[in-house]
Amino acid sequence: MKKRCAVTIERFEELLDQYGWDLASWPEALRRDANVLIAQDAQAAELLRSLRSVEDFLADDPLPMGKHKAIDDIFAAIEAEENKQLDASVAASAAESLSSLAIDNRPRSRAHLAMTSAAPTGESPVRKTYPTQFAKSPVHSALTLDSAKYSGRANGALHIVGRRMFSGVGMAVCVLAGFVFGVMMTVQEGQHVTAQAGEIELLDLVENHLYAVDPMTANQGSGQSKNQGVVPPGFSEIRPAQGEQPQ
Amino acid sequence: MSVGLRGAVSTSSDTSEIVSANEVLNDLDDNSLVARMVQGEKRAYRVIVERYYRGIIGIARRMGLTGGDAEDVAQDVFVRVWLHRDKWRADGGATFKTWLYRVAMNRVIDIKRKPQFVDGAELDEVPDGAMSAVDRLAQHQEFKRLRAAIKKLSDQQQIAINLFYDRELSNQEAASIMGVSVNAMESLLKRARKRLREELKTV
Repeated sequence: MKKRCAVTIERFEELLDQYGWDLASWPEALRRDANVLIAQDAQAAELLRSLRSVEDFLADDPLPMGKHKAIDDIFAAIEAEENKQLDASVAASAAESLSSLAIDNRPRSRAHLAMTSAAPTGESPVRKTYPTQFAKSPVHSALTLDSAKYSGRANGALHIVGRRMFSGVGMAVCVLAGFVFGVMMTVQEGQHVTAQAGEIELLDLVENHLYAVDPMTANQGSGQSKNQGVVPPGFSEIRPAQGEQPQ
Repeated sequence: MSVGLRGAVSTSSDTSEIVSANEVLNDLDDNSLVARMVQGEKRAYRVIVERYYRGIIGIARRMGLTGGDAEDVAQDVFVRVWLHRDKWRADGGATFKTWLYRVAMNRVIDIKRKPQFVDGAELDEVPDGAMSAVDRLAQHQEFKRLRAAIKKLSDQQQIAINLFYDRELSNQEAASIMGVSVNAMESLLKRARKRLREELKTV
């Protein structure tokens, strides 16, 4: 007796799309029903056979094993890329050092030549140097322009002093020096005024003393004084002591 | 003479050390190898390349690239991965394998979108010395028919089909490479199979 199919050909196609073309990956109950259909329906069997061959083609891997040459090529390409990146970074650092040279053109060491040179540092008696494109001409174009404007080495100390004078430190030194100078002048002026005041007082005292002496010499008879008869107020009471002779 | 002898002995011992070190590396899992790769260890990366080179070439060929182009893609991918190894994040949600395949897929798509790209699926032959000439011809015809049908699928469907039938990949990994969930991947596969089945009837 022929077993009744639980799935139609349309349902079988849907299940093939859903679970794939390998019945081994289907759920158990569905696989049983599908096997019944395949056994009874030639169209379903042919469909499954063609799709399985497609699946085999898709899963087939025609690549032979042992492609070590290709893997060697990959690592050679990696080395080349790394060398390229290294060269780029060296070029960037060299350009940076050259730009600093353009600002500061004081004589410097030859360390930058050693950095870009591939000179061997072993025990060989003869050291070779392989100047690179950066060591070949360390003079940058910007450096040439700035060197035309500045002649630092030619002017020497004058150039350095001139730059210092316009610096902040120079300004501070000038202000401090001016302050000190001002203080000194003020003190000197004060001393001068004080001395003048003392001198005036002394002169007044001397002069008044002479005025006070004149009337006494006039009264003693012999000489006439130009101040004779003129007694300044307040001085009339000043009298020399008994026996004291005016000079 | 003694120097030469010592040199020969030391070279021999160095070679045996390298061989044993490579054996140790071959036993490591992907995570350990990738950690060493990130540190700049090229021998560890060589093990990774040897492990996945065939898979990447296979994906590129299934996507329609010729042998030369597929090898170029593989080389380009592995060089890029090495140069950008510091960008790899272990906690990024993907395994290194799926990340590598995703990079390769994107590279293949970029090449296929170039105007000068020539689909080389029909140029490739599958050498098999054990088959007769008639069988080889029949297989070649079947292969061409299949490729012609796959070319009619959408890009997403082609990728899904090619990743799903890659023996190196699980369903979860294939979904991860495409950046979709497993359910979405299965839905995509269902539509791709249906379309491919219909196209095969007409081709």
